Amino acid sequence: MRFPALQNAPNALSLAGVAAALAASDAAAPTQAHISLAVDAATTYQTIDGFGFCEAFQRAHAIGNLPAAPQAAVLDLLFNATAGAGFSILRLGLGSSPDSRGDHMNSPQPAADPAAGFAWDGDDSGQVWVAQQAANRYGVATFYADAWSAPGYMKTNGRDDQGGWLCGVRGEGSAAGTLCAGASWVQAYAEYLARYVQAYIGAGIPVAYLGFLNEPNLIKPYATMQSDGYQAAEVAEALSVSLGGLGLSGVQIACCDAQGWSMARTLLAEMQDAGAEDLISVVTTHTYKGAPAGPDGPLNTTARVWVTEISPIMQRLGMTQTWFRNGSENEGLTWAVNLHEAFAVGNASAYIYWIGVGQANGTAPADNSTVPYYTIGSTYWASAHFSRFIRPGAKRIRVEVESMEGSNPGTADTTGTNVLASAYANKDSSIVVQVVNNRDQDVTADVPVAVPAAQSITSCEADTWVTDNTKKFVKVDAGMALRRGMSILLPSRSLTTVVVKCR
Amino acid sequence: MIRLIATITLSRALQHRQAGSTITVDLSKTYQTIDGFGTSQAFQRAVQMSKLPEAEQRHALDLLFSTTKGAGLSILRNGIGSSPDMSSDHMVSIAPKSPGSPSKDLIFAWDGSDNKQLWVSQEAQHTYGVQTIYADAWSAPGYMKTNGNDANGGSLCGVSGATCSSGDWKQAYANYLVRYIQYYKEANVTITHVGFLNEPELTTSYASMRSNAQQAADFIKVLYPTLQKANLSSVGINCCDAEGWQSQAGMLGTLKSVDDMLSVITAHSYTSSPSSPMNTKHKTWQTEAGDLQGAWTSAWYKSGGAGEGWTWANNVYTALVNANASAYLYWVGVQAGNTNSHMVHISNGKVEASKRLWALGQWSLFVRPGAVRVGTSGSASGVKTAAFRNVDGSVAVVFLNSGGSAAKVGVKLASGGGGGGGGGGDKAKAWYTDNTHEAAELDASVADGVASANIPSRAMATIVLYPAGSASSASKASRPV
Repeated sequence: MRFPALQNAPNALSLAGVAAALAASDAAAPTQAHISLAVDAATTYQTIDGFGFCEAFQRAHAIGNLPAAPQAAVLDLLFNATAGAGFSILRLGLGSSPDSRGDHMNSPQPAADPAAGFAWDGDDSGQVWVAQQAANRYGVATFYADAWSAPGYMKTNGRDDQGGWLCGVRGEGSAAGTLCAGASWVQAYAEYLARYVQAYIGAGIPVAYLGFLNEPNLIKPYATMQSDGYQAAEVAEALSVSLGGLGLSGVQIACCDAQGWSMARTLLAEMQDAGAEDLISVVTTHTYKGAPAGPDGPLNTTARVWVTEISPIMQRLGMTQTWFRNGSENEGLTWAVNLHEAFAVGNASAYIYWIGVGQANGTAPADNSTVPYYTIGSTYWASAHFSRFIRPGAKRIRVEVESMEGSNPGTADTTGTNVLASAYANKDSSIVVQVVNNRDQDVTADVPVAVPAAQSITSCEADTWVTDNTKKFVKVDAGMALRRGMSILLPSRSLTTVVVKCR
Repeated sequence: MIRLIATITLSRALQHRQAGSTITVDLSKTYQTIDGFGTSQAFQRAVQMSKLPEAEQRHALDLLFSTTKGAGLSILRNGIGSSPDMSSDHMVSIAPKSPGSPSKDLIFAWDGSDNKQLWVSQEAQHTYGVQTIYADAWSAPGYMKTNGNDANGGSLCGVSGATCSSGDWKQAYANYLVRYIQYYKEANVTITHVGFLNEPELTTSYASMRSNAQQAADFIKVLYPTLQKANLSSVGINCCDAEGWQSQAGMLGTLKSVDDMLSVITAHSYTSSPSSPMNTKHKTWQTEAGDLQGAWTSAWYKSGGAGEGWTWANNVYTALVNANASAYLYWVGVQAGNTNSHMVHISNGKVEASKRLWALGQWSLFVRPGAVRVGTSGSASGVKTAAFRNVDGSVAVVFLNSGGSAAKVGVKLASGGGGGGGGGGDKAKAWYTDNTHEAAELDASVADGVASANIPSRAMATIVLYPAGSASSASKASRPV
């Protein structure tokens, strides 16, 4: 989907608002709710692989075509881990189309002609350039190459759009009415994908994850290919062979980019039934549609689970800079809730946005134009809160929200799900607590952070960042000493990130 | 014949082994006087206690202060609030609004609660007999400071190097502290010590005020006569609750200028712990220590971790024996939360004591206020020993057995010492704390003037001698299980 361009917000990442925030805290009414966020770093859950986005379907050109200064600013906003979001994963769309008409992703092997060979163009719809910036200038190390479809000549319908199946998968290809002519293209597809990954690696992009489907329930006028879990198992089998054949057995197979959580469950169960679960290193899903669309609990697998695509496109509201107004799907606070649920409810290991940077409708402004080059949607801020501080390799840890009020202080907060907390321990031992206050009321929170007994701590400090309707990603407490325990203010309708460093 | 002699020799040797090592207490060799052991309910931890169901409130207070049902702590450290209100866990000040100028009267707004510390203090003093109440301000109210905020450092207006356009607030701060003490007095609670700083070398985002030794002396020169004039000369001025024992020691040179105005030198254990005596004639107290970030443990001994009771029993030992401290306070007594910042845990409306409480309790129950540390000779392998003579004449001998097996120890008073060693009619009782016991009675037998007991491995035990003719009676006659 297309999005309006990013806009530069000068104060976005500044320290402005520190004094204001402190004053607000001092003047806050004493009757605000009081909770405890008890962090327990000794209890760990899933490992976090990172956060990211995609620039498929030629959206990469939006960044590539920017003049130098806004281009550098946008790349910093995306990848800079100190001043920006520090995204660490880039999802690449592997092209299946005959050419680059419209926003199609051209395939390096668009026809069945064996003489044509694998014609890598070194550009891959602008994605190679973005990936190189990410890898070379920012040290991004996680690249997920995913094909929406096989090229048309490998499919039952002879085209890369409008659904259709890969020739030769279970139940497809030998029947009359398909264009497979009895041939199976399963191994050929696997070879093709392996070659594609090899080409990326040759271009200096260390692709380590490979998927071969996207929302395989859909039939759409863009690259789509249908598959169930059994059929996917067959392709995964072939892929494992092809990757090994090219010396790429380190590349991990991901499947199946389901359209939603319930569909991911079904595909997973089918792949498990087919005995193919250990071929899949990462179970991938989107959270657009289903019963439920988003996580209602972990998936039934020991493999990592990634949310590999999601954006607020279902309500067709477009991008907004509003953090919170009425809880619409495109508001930043809604996004904070989505992130919380993916990690705390779904036990996800990664969260990848749909398009990071897209071109607004219309042309880019002229050099002397006062129209800014880019706009930042409010979902960016929620993503940045998580991504900048929860680094690859972190582990989610336990945090309990407890009420500190009434006659039973220290009881689990039963007032509902409107204060949502998740916590993470980075490999450098820093602890990150993400708290969504979805109430209309400010809440004060004691944050006792318990580290495992083996760590000998002399002192701890905490920094806090807040985004709400009045401030975007502002550091409100710098170097707060945790000597007597930390107490923070969670403004109404805010996302607060607390980073604790002990030594 | 030879065999018989050998048998006799053997049995004597056996007897000696069975008698274990004997510690001799020399009452004529005296060290420091002990004021007690304690904790704090500042920063609205007292409010958390007050929200418990009534039965659990009593249970919590018993655990802290009861000499029969709990640790018998004898010192309470209160926080004198400096904040405008009780948002978050702030301690509201008794004069939160600025009068505009230090020459104008302060605008007092006493709420009769003092962040619920008044209630805890009343219980401590009147129900449990606690006699030492130390009121300590983390900061002056913001309007008396260079930064206009009770948090984030800043200095008291008017001390050396700290000028404010509003003027010199030293006298106003002194008046303010005096009024606080008077409010407590009016509510029938006697504050015995007052402090006006907490960790003054540290700027924090909670109530904090910076001060060096000179600036502290500047203020003490005002506070002291103000207390005198208010008829509060019985209230001792403590200073300066530095982050660590060494940093406080470093302030003593400059504090000499107000040496006669000071009561107790106070320090915490975070950046350095009490390991050697401070160079001062005053008593020294260790007023705040804790395993602030350790995940909650209620264990006595598992691996010697920072939060275990055994570790704290030993920390107190080092402070008293190596650093000559007169008091030892753990940071918080009772609160909710999953770290070891506190000794007693609130969860789901119930309280649960950790063995850190009993570590302090095993000290506090038997080494009572006014006790004097006295000399000992002799030792048992792997066992640390210290002895204290209580005001009532009883002698508490403390043992910490870090050995892997039980140690048989005997203790006697040096002959000629007050109380008489070796005479008949001497009594002894013993109590101990370990993984499965909390100040539980330990068998102690007396023979030939030597009181003996078997100290289990990794246990802290106290043998209390009641010399014949002394006024002592068991301070702990019995303990319910």
